[in-house]
Amino acid sequence: MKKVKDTQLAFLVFACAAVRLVTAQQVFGAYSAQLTLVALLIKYAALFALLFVTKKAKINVMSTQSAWLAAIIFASSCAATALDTESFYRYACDEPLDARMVILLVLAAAACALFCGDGTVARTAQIAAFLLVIAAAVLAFSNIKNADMSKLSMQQLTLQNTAQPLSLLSYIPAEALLLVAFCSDNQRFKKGAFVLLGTFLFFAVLLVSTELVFGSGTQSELRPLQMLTRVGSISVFKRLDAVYVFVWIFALLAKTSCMLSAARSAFQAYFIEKHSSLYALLLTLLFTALLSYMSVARQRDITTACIFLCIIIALVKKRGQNNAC
Amino acid sequence: MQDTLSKSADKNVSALKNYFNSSIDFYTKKVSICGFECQICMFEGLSSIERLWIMMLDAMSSLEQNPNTPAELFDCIMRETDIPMESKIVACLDDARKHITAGASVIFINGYDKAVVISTQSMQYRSVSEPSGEGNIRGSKEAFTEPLRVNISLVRRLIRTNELTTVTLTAGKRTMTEVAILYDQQLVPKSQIDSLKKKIENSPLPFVFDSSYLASFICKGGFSLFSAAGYTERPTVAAAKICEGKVVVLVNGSPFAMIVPYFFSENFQSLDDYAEKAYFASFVRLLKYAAFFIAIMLPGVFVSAAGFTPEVLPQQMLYKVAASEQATPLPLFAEMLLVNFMLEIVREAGLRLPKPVGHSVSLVAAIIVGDAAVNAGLLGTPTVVVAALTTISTFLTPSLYAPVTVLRVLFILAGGILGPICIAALFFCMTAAVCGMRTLNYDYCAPIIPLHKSFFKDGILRRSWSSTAKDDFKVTDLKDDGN
Repeated sequence: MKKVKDTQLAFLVFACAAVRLVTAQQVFGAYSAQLTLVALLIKYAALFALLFVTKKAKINVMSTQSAWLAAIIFASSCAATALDTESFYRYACDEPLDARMVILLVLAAAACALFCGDGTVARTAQIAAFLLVIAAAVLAFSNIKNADMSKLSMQQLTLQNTAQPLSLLSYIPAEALLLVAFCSDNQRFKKGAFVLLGTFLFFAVLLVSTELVFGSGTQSELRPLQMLTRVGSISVFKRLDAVYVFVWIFALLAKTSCMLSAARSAFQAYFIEKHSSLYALLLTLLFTALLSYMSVARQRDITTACIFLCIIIALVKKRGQNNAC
Repeated sequence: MQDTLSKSADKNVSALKNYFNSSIDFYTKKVSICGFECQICMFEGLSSIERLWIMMLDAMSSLEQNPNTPAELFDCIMRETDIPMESKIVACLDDARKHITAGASVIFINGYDKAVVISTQSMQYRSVSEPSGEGNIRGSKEAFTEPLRVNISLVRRLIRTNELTTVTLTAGKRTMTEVAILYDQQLVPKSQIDSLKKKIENSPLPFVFDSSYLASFICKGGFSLFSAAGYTERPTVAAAKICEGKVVVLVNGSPFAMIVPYFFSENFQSLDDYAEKAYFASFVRLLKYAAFFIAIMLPGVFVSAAGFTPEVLPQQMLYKVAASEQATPLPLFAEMLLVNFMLEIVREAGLRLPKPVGHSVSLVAAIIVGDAAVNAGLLGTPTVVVAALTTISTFLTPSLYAPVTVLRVLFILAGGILGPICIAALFFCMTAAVCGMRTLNYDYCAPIIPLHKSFFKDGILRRSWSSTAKDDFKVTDLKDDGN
């Protein structure tokens, strides 16, 4: 994704992270907003530290040696996003459409966008980021009348109750690798930090809004954010949930195409022929289709392990270079 | 035809006659000027022989001394007479061909290998009138007409600075049509013009009768529903775009100027926006954006909602749709497709027929077919209402008519076959297609994406002139903005 500009990449990472938090199961409502936010804060602080360390060490996590690992990470994330889209769509629309059909459609749409180029994918993700922010603001605003401050639970933080939500967020998402690779200088590092901050604030607004409306009832809901979209209304506009679902599916498609594009770029390193881009895309699609048979949780484990492996390879390579000097 | 002229006027004329295959409208006449044998060449209908005669007689009668050689006669005509000459001297047959086909008269002097070109154009053409498809309330009512020179003069009259530059070239192997590129030399990089010229000259078109023929060669890229080139009939719009640093391409014989680069947001702007109050212009633009989305998505979303997710429809509406569907023989999806096809057929029929007949066709289609189909229970009222609303919305953005029409059908198919997920996927693909387009190295979706400060001044909303005039928009600002 060399043709993507810095700001676009920052928006892309934000869109990918934000939509994952919004549409993934068992993130919202499993624990109180306070605990989830603390867990997320810890996770983002760890990510920030990781960014800082990799920037200081000046390591290249996406080198040619680790291209195959990057390809696995992004293809796996692509498959996970397609599965997320299918499960979210099934929940939101309650429609008896075959799961394989939905996944195929999602991958086809993502591949379609990819034919327009990497820059196009980034620009589409930028639109998705804007839409996500606007939708979150409208969602929070439309629920002001239902909010009740007394429903916001505050409890004492202990290691035990913080560890529980942290276990839900313990994986490293694929977009973190993009962020690590992106933050190579001070200017980009600042943008990377803003992305983390922006994602945290975005998530915090939605999480607190959900708890202000439902209180501890969120813990009994599978997807409390969707419930929030259904109860929120502005004057006579009562069925805004369809708009939110549309925006989130759009963002999920944008994320799928971003991951597909990144995976294709990684695979492309192994093709030196004229149509390497097409071959890489076909290989990525095939790989993604195979990975889509795995559960999302398993794919997140694979992604996390591969990201650590990428960083270790980069560190070893850097050390070797330093020793050679 | 690159051959240099012969000293024999007869040879030159016969070479031209040969080139034009002895066409009956190719007029030649042997004359004697100051005792020297000359040949006049022109095309009947393009040039006026009477005009030439008046000019020549007037000029020749006032000569103070007679020339002694053909070369002296040539100098005499060129320098000592008041005849309005073309600035160029014809030195080869190709030059002669160019001038004759442009309506000038060429005079070959026997014994001299250069010819004189005299501007005796008197071709018939449509006068400057109001635009046929770009109505406005305020501002100039002039529209381009067919002859290239008239069109250039219309723009020149509006931009009276030395920055307006006009370059002409030819395109179309068979027609050798004259094409003019108009731009502001301060705002457009020379490399961009050179690249544009190269693209036009190298276009393998056999004929060029409109500026739109060149669009696919100028805005190269894969297949796209949207056009990365804009068109206008109005010299005022063309002049405004030149002042923004864009390039206007005019083709001889076409009253439509092509504007490159052209952005998606410009499809929702009109000349009146800048004459109206900023708040009203912004309101109209918002309406146009809404109309665009209604035009492409409403029928598809309606079909999808009614067929797959009826719970999103308000109860009363759902009952009415259900009642209406029960009374009609076709499913909603098929009904919507049918109505849209019918509307397109009616529009096409009304467009190509003579105006009075066209109106009758529209009337018959609207009242008899539409009303009768609903009364007979063949079509549901909600379907007809949605289709009518959609069609009216289409007319708010006439420049997007073609993509809107096709996308509407695609959205109906998407909504009818696979429901909301397919609509979202198609919308995503459409957005990607718009984001992926580029024209002359500018993103088609600029200044929205990548976001640029000009978006906040004259994007979806327009700010007042007192604000926008402080830092006027130039298209070059969109390049390398750090995004």
